[in-house]
Amino acid sequence: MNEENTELARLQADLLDCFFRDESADVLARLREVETGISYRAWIASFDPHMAQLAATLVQKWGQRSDR
Amino acid sequence: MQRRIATGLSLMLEDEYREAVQPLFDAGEVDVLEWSFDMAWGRMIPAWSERWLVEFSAEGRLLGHGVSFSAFSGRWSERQAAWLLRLQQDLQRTPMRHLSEHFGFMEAGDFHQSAPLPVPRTKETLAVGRDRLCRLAETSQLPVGLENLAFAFSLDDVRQQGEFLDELLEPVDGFLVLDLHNIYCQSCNFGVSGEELIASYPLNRVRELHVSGGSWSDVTVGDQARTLRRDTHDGPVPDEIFPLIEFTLPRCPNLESVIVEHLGTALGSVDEAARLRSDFEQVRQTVSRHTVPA
Repeated sequence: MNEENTELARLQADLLDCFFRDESADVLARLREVETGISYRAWIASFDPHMAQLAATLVQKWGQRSDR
Repeated sequence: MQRRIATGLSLMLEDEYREAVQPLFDAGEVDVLEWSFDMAWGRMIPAWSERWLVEFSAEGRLLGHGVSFSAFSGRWSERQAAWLLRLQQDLQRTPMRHLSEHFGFMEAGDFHQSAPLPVPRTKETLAVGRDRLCRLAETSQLPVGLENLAFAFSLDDVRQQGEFLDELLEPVDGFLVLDLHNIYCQSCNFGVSGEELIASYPLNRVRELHVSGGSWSDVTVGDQARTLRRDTHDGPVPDEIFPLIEFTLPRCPNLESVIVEHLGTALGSVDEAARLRSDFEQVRQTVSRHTVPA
């Protein structure tokens, strides 16, 4: 198992970053800009908008970044 | 030969929690104790809960349930390595019967903590999940399992989770912790029947059922408002959960215990404490009507 950054690791970091930003913006539109492969892009395209918005609320509540 | 299914509680560290559940312990009704050991790291463990931990551990009735390992983070982190070391130390002091964690991730990039979120079913997520389960099994030398996640981004996530968990657990012959309130959340949020979702899980792998309450959140996107169910463990067990317990019990031949979960911080009133006890009693009565093959 590769312990360095994988496509999954980059995707997860980008997702959390997107969700963590200002809640009032269009979360789905930001998520669609995440650079990733076909399978993960299809996954993001399947997101329910309300669930994506809820994820943003939860990440903003519970997310903690290192060195910030 | 048949054996009975145990009923238990998830141990919280607040005094309000002890006051609420002490009568259940005094009556000898708590068969097993679930212990989210990593939620206690960095906190003072009160003497009363230490006594319960020692007692249940010595009698093989303590079930480990990690929360913060982040088993599906794509990048293996120093924090996760330290988590495993700490787990090892905890197990030496307080042996547990088995160990479970959660489907999903909460650590990525420079986020060392976040809300638990799901991952899609891909070759990469399968490999990552299997690797982390192997590490948990090697470190703990215990049977290891995963709990289904309440939060899902889409109906596809919801429908695939059961089969994906089966694939993930197969190499370690792991067990499933089936959280029925998580199923209820998905049922409410995606308009699927709870029974249909339960039937999509590998029920022969279920060792534990989890039962809890939660809350509703209003979410607006554009001009569309929806009310979504969340697994917040801060309310009474919804009436809709009990038929799901009845539906699930006879379908899980390897089921060992049913755990009632409730946050200790959400027991501020006498009524809330009484409701937790009555929920536990109702779960216990429901469970007592069923047995599984010995």
